[in-house]
Amino acid sequence: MTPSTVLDLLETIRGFGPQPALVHRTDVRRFVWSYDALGQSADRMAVHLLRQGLRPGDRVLIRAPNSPYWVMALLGCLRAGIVAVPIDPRSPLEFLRAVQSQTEARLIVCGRFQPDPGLPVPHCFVDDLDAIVQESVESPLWPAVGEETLAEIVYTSGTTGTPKGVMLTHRNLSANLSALNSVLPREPWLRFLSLLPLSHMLEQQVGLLVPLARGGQVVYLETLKPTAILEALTRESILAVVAVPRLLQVLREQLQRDIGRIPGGTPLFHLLDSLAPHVPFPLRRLLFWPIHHRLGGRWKYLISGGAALEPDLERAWERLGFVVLQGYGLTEASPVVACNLPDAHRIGSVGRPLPEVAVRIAPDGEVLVRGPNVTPGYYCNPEATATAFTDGWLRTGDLGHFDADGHLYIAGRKREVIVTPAGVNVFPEDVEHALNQQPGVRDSCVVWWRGRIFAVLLPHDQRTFDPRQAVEQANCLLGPSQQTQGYTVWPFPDFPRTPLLKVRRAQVLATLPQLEAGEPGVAPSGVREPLTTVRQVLAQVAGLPVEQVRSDAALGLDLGLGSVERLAVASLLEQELNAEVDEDALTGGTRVREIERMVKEEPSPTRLLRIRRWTRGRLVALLRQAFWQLGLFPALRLVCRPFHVTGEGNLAGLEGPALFVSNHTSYLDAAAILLALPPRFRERLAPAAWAEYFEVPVSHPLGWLARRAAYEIATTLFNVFLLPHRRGFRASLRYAGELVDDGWNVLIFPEGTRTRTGEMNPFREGIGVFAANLKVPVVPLRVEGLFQILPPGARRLRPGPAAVEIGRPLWLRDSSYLELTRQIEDAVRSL
Amino acid sequence: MLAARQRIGIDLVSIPRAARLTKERAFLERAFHPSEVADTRIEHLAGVLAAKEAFFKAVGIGPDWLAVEVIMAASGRPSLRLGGSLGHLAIQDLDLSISHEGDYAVAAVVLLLGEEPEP
Repeated sequence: MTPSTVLDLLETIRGFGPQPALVHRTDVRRFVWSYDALGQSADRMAVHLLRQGLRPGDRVLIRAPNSPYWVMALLGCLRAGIVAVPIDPRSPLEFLRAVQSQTEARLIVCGRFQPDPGLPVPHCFVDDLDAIVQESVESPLWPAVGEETLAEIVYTSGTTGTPKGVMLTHRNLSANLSALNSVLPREPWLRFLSLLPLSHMLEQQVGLLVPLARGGQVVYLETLKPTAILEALTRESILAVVAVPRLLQVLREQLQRDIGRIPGGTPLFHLLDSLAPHVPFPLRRLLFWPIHHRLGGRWKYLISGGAALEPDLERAWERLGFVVLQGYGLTEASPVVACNLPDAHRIGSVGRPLPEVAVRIAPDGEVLVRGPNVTPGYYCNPEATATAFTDGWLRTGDLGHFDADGHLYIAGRKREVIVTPAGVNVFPEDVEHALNQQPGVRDSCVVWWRGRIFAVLLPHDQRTFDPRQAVEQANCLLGPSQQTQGYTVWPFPDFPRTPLLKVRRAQVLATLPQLEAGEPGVAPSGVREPLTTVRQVLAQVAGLPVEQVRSDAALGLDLGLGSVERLAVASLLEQELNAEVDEDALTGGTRVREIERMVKEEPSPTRLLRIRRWTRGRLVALLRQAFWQLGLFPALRLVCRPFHVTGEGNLAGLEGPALFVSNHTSYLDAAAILLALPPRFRERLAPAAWAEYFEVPVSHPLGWLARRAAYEIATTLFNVFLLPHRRGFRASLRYAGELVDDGWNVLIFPEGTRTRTGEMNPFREGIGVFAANLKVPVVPLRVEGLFQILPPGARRLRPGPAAVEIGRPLWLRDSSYLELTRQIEDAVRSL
Repeated sequence: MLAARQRIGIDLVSIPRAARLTKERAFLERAFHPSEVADTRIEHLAGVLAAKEAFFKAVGIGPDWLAVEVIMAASGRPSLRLGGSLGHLAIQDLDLSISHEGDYAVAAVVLLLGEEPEP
């Protein structure tokens, strides 16, 4: 069954109903959209667009990071007959302006946290689509959409000159989808992890449409740092990943770093790795079982595209037992032209052409393509369209050849071929390949500079790198006309890269005069590689080369970092190194080596923030119930005479977890709330306690013991978790997200401390951060009378009346944490 | 001679530097409220950073970035909103001004402290 338009695809996927389609892992929570929800959201998005005054054929720019909302925006456009123009959110602003001037889009759907070029075009934030798709609407008569209807205009990540917009019709997309669907292996479990931008056709087709067509799932991550990727792999049981070669290398390096942290890990790994080629392929997963287990246990496929995959890298992953399928394509072909398959596979080749895709080699070696997946041309650019085709065949700009079995090999970009004065063609890729094999070389870029083959080298470690030796060794591997005749070391942390991590050769070439003149300059912008050490983080924030970050350098005096930059350092240490460093500890005088120590250090023994997950287990829960029913509640009723609860009816329609918020008057508050809430909430409630309370140093040993006992009692009997005001706040926020994902409710006292006077203190703004990130209803609570029964500092209980009032659940949306906090505070006050 | 309870704070932010920092998601999440990022021009973001820093200097405390929010009125006049964790500061009145030109954004905060609250 071949869907002839992508919309037919949408109809068929409705058949998958409640099955999960898209998973969204934010920093705090995990959201799941079923096929039903996805289809419904796409329709609502389409209605919203039409209501904004957009007409079929109008263009909408989508410039946002990957997420289910991105997918809904795309499907909504397609449903409404509106042309989607996806743009990588990391592309430079000049590029965006050029695209806008060509497409004259009438709306930009964009991500919230990104700089905007200030175009006079209305925009809509992608996370506001949440509200749009909740609104139930009647489906209007959808505009007629046929095979030749323009579905998307995809701009190729050009590095120079005017960007060209590839027009892709519904037929183009559907033809490529059905071709891929017919050849890719069938697997019962089909969960993909999305790592490439959806603005690129490789991710859209192979990473989105193929899994959707088969009822699989796609997992989207809010941030793409390697630690988040590995965590997603572990927790989500991923089957397949679509990646570019550079990303495969980065992941491999991250894996090796993780292995290196285990004592004896690296030598063991090398031993197994050397055995692997002798082990039959299906058994390799057993050989490396601990690694596969850590990566989720189901991860089997790596689909590589976007750039040439080094054979060594391919073999390295295959030795571990992964099936690596390298493919080849271009945006103009929607995009896949050829790919390797498990039973038709050659290392170094890009596989056989897909069904219905015809590939021919021109006399000069250029690869030509023809088929229903090939674009009709470039948007509003007839000259470019004319030059792109010869006799109806698309000119790919790549040079290649077939072997005897019909496997295609790509030699390199026609445009980047270096033609020596002797008239010999040299592919920079070949020279780079030889250079990259040298120890110490992380990556290289070969260009024609000042009449010579010139290598720009990016080392692993600038301090110990010997470029001369690397070049000499590489030259031994190359032919006489491929000899590198000049070289330099790239002084910045990385090469400028395209969104798909290909080195921007033209930009490297353009920087050479600046390097030659010895000007330090600013590193050309591009996509940044992950940072793995404290010094790299500091170098990145300070805008300096890593070598200039010495271990005795002070943040303020030597590196010139003000308090804003020190915040950036703390954030990057957390984002890139997963290390939570106290922002307050980073002062102008703090030295680099102190930070390195802070990052390495285990949390001090008095730091009780280790999250205790076992307190949510079944057995402990039963013990807890027993304690409450037999001990706590009767005792409470003795002391709270009478005990009134009002407003339970407000919780009647509430399904799913909520964020309970209450004023704070006494140690008895949490217990009273537990007593007051209906059992289905009470049994899965985790109150938050102010972490710093447990950390104030107490000199008297008895005092220390009492406090420690209080901590143990609180966490086991009340399922309390610690919520710091400062350091570790985000870790607690994430734990709260975990609780909510698991169906637990969270109780927070936003005043931060019990009132001394009986009056409510202002709510701390952290509650706004919680409400905004947890995305669950907020239930306001008010406790009365407990302040009189057990005030702060009191040594005796004074029995008396007590009441808990339960307010109506609030569904809050605001872009200001302070505003959210105020709304919550008002709700509690009004009770 | 300033009245005893008046304070001033001023800060200058390099816009290209701010541009580099605001590329990082983690930094944006820690330094800004989503409402502050709605206007995504880099001069605006640099101005917000300068305003917050100027406030902390005026008060004389270490930075607590999400405890303050810079609000731009339709007229373009900025103001500062303070969160609950700063409630103890007893600030009676406060004014903020932001400017930018070329590669720099600058902000100044003037505030009037109230009487010390009773302990």
